[in-house]
Amino acid sequence: MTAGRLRRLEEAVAPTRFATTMESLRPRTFLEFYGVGVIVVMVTAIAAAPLIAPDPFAQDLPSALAGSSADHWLGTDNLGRDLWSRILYGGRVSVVIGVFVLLTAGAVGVLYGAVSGYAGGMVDAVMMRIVDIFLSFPSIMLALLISAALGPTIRNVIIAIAAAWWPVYARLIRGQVIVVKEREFVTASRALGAGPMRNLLWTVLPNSFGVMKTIFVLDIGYAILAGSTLGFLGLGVSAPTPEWGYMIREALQYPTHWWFILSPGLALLLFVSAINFAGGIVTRSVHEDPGR
Amino acid sequence: MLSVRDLDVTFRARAPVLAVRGVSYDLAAGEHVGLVGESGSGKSAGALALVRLLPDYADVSGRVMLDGADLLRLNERELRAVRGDQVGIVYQDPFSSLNPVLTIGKQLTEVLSKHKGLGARAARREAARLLETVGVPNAEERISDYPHQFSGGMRQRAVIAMAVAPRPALLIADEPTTALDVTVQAQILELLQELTSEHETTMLLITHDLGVVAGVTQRVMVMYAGRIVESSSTEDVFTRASHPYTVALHRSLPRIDVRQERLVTIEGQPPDPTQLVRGCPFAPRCPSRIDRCADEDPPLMTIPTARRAAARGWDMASIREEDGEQVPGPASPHLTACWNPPDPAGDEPGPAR
Amino acid sequence: MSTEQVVSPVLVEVQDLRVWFPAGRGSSTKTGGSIKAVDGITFTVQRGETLGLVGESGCGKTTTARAVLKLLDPTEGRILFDGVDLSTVSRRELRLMRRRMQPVFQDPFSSLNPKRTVARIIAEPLVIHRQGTASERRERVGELLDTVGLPPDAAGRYPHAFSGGQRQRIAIARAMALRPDLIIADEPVSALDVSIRAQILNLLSDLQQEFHLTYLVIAHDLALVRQVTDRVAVMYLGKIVELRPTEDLYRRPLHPYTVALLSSAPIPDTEAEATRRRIVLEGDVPSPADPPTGCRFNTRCWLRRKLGDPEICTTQAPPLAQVQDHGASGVVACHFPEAVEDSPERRETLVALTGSRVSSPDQELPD
Repeated sequence: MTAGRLRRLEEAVAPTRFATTMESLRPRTFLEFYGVGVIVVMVTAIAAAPLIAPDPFAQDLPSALAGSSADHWLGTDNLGRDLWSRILYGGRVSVVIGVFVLLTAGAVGVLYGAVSGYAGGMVDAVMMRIVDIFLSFPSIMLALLISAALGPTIRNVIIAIAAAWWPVYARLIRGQVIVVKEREFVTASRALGAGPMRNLLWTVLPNSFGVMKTIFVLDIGYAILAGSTLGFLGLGVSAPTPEWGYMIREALQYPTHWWFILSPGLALLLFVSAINFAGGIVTRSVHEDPGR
Repeated sequence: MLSVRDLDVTFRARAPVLAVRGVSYDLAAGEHVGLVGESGSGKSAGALALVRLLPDYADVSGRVMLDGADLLRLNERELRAVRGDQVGIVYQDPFSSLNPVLTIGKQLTEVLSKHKGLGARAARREAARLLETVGVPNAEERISDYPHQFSGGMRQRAVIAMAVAPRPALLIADEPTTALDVTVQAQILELLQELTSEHETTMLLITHDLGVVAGVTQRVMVMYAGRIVESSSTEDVFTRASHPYTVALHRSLPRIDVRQERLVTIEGQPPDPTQLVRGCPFAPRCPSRIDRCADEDPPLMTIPTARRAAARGWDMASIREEDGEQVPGPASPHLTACWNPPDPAGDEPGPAR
Repeated sequence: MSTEQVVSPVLVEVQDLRVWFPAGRGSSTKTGGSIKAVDGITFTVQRGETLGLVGESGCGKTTTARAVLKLLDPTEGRILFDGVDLSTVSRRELRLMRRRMQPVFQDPFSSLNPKRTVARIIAEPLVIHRQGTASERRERVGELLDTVGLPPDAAGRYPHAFSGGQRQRIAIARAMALRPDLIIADEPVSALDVSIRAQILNLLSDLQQEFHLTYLVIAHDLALVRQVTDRVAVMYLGKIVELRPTEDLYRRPLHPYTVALLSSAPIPDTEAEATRRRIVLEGDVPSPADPPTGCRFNTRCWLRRKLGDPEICTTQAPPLAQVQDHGASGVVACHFPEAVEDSPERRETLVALTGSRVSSPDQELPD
């Protein structure tokens, strides 16, 4: 019995689709539980920031650079602002950057790559050369250049990172589309009279997402890191807005006050690693998806 | 020569797949035996399990004795030696069973130097000779070709050359002609026949096509739902099939000799391999089903035993005492796993029954 | 619509069709030569008949089917569907044409979109061609499921929940959704289990009678082709070598390649297998990028060798010549069809096929 035939057997006995998906998305290993747990706790805290933390902009200069206390759980920064609050509000910026970079770069990349792969021939060749040009720059350098040119706002940071990232998705989805468009059910759809647009959007694309799902989840983490990197280099979100990367940059000037640098650093590490661990679940579920 | 007892193969999956259920048989040296069944009948899984070539998620139990050693108890190293030296395998798909980045000659010489200890030059000469034997023209030149430069039929010839190079005692051919065109299929079958008779190689030919076994084998075992349901000489399977499944299979084959008004179908589907079946697995589709078929899975027995058992209501245990539950082997009589085997239709020949 | 409703008996007419693919990666027809997958074939499909296309892999039968479905463009030649030239129609007209011809593919595991429910798969052609309202479509899906012998609750499930035979039924239901005139089936049962094949073939035959369908069936299994077709075209290396009514072809084949094919077919009969002598074709099918000159079959032809290698076989391509056989007409492309007729090879082949039911090999083969 070949593996293919066995998989068909497994498919034949699989329970309903929704139940399968939910079942496969349940964390199973310790690291997966840890990842999901940390994400849930941190996202809840970040969302509930106004309820559980003081104003992140309120300056309390007399108690600047203070350590942990009842008033300031994680101490204060050089301007006497509450670090706990700034970590939480900074998390909001990070999550927004992570999610929107993915949406923007994903939408542009997927559309671009799908059209390129589906069209094939000269169109494909030209479109992919353009992608190659983008990819020949290190992505963080590209993001830096764009960010420097546009100016430091959250929106511009998102645009900068997305501009550097979409070619990766474009290339990835193009590869998938080229494979999927040769499959027989796509030919069947063409023979039914479906036009290229309909075919691409409704038949080819839904079957091309497998690998992308995994990469998308992992990339949220990397997008957050990239956002923080820009902040750290002073080209990210501008000054008063709390942002983890920029906080680390500021803290570097006060090397003796370890809690100042530890809190944003730890927040970044925890969050990004948690996303990585949780990403494993998606990878597994994609592998187990019977309709993949 | 080869003796298989109570072979079970289960694929671990969300719902475990019971691919092979308690299969036993003997093969004598030099015999050509066909193993016929549909996809999912367990014919390939059962054969690949002999040399433990199934994926990790397959659980295999039972005994496979080859020249006094139990293949299922050997360690990896001993097993590797058995695989090339004593057991050769020809797969269905010659496209994926050759390494695309090595020349045909390189792959052949590798086998030869590993299993026969030949030096580089001797191995190359032997490789060319082998290719010649399996009917590859201009073997001397084509030995430095890559697999993609060979046609499908030529590739299968090369695969066969590799399988027979160490002169194995047993050749397992798993659907060797399914991926090939009819005109090539005939050639490959002839080649297998020739090579195996020459060296008295035992051949286990696995196929879903009754037509393929007709010309090549002496004995046939028919599998259904992981069991052997009928075993007899090849001739008997064609002229006096005794299991309702085999009979139905014959009837449902489109005939090349005459146009039929309407094709005869076997209604229904094979059973779900993840479910333990109570009684005979073919019972739901069987035209000659009787009451006890629903409760008791018939063992392989001679036809008279089966009839007497059904008539007198013997249970399985008493059958074991009376006539012995039979194991298909070189000298075994026509066996069937059916409580109510249909009457053979006299001397009317061939698939016309 | 024209007022004169003269219905021509011809549904599909293929005229001198050629489909060439550029050879090698990236090279164009100009630089690298080309693979002549289909190289000048002409045939018609009559309304209501089943025409079989047989031949070995690489003979061009699948390419022909795809060209008729307009899934690829012919290099040369014309395909007329119901009198309309497919190469000149507008996109809008082509869409209308497509409604009338539907494919059924070989592998039901890959021809159904795994991400859609059965109901959506079957309704897809209706959606594409904007047929009916949502509820009408739902009703039609139920009807179609019933037609192909599937239970109504199949509609909400995904393809992976079905066996091969059931999936092929789903594919057939989809093909039937727009009430087509022509169904092009490429090896419709070769991916299915032996015990399931007859079910699907009978279903196709029932549908043909009930809905007056025309079939173009591509297959390599000669036994199957004899059961389901009215006429058969045998292809070799991009050419039709023989096209005749099915029974004529099987009883009195006239092309040496047809005889060789019949001679290679396995027979489920030990006695016939033990006694028959096969015609073994030498070597492989030549590359379609560089076909032999003259008759394409000449490099492997058993008859040519017997006749002492006549020059004409390598210099002149035999035209498709009309043959009359018991009143039925057909065509064959061989310089020496009479020699085939008289050959002991053909007689032996036919005797083996009919098994031991022929008492004497010398008498005229039975009906």
